[in-house]
Amino acid sequence: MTFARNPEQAGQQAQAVQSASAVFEQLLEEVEGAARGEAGPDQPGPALTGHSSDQPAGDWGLNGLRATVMQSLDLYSDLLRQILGLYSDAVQGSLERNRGGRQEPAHDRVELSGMAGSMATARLWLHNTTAQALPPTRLWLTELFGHDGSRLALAATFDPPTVEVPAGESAEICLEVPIPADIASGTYHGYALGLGLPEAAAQVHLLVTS
Amino acid sequence: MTEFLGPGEPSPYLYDLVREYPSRAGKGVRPALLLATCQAFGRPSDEALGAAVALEMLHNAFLIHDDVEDQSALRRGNPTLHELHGIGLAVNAGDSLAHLAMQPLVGDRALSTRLKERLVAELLMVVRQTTEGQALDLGWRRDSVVDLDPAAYLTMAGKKTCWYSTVAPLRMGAIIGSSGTAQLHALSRFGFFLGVAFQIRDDLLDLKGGSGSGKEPFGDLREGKPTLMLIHLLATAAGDDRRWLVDYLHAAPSGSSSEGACRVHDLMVRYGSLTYARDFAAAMEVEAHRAFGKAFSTVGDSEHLGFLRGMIPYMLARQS
Repeated sequence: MTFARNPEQAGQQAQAVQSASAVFEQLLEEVEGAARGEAGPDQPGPALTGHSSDQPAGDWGLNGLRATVMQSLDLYSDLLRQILGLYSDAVQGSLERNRGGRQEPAHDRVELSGMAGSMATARLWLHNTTAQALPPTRLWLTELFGHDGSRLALAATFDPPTVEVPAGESAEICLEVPIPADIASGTYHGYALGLGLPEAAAQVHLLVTS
Repeated sequence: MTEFLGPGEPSPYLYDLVREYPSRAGKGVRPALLLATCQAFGRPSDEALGAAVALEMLHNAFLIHDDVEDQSALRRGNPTLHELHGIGLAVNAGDSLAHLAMQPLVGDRALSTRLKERLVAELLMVVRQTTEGQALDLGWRRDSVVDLDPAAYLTMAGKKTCWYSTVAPLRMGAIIGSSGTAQLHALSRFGFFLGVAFQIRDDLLDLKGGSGSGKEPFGDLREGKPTLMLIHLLATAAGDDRRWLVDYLHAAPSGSSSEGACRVHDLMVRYGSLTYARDFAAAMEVEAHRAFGKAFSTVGDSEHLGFLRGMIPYMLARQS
């Protein structure tokens, strides 16, 4: 540390400190003003405060406690933010599935294939995206159509034959189709439907190979 | 920093350049202040590492552009980046480093979202203040402004040097260490006076030059840099001395010479400008010591506080 050599020098140094103090206060006001401006005219700037938001100096133990409390609040805040994010994603996903189920039922497709005279099997899922449980529902397969207008009435079996799906859950069903021995090779199209579920329809494609 | 400045392509044109200044041994004053302040406020240093790395990377980005703007030939004892690779690639590397500097802070998992938002705001304010201060410095030089007073110098130094060298490291360290509850006014005041004292000493050091400083001797005088000594000289020099000085500054830096810079130095000695600047810096140092007590009045004594106290004489007594 250096001290003034004479009264004149001491005066000059005091003037220097005074001048520097004025510049500092102006600079800090400018910085905090910029932060307030970004936050809006009616709100204190949360980002770059240091002057107006200062708390009076107190016991350092108390300040440590304040810091610890703020840290805990930050942890809970971030945790809550993450939970809300996950919940939001889940709700959005559910809404999209729901919307897709009603408007584009044809995208649910069941693929069956096999040789004439064999048994073809496939698995399909029934998703209950509503808030109500689905009562016991019987599934059935429509006639299948070939490109040339040929029609197939197959003795399809569903396992289980009736399904119950709680609200928000899904059920897996096994579809089994005996392919007649005397039909031509090719692709046949039809639908798997649920009795009492007018919105639910899964396309069924049967590929018969020779 | 090495972690954030790893290998990448195009390496010979960008990432090798980006790594150049950080790989040269610097003093690390800014991260040291930031980390020690965080610890003095009671939190471990690893929570402040991201912010410290971000600030140091930003400092190195500033240095690259600063060297181009000042047409400097040496940085930390070696050729500047634009001397090695040309102005275009050097400026581009500086741009890259400045943006990469945000990465350690934004991606920091040790900090809460609220603290990260505050620290990013602090870092953006560093960019704003530093570039404003640099604009004043360069603008005054371009226009050969000769009627500056000490308050103008303090404003320029406060923005250009103090804010990012001392004020911001202290504020950012305290924000992390106290989870955003610390008093920043007293800390900022301490940082400002320490930074001003540091800048004046640094300007005085330039007049010594030599290999130890890592700078060219009388570089500031040749560039016509508005230092406190030059401002004092312009205010006190009389007659032919002042007329010659004004002409010299109008010609700088392209028309300046070693002889001219030596004559400015002689005038500074004769008119007491060096003594004036030394006394001014001493007053800033005394005030920094006073402000230190208030700045850290809310934290308990610790080795970290002792380290910070020791930074005052370290920064102000340094020879290089």
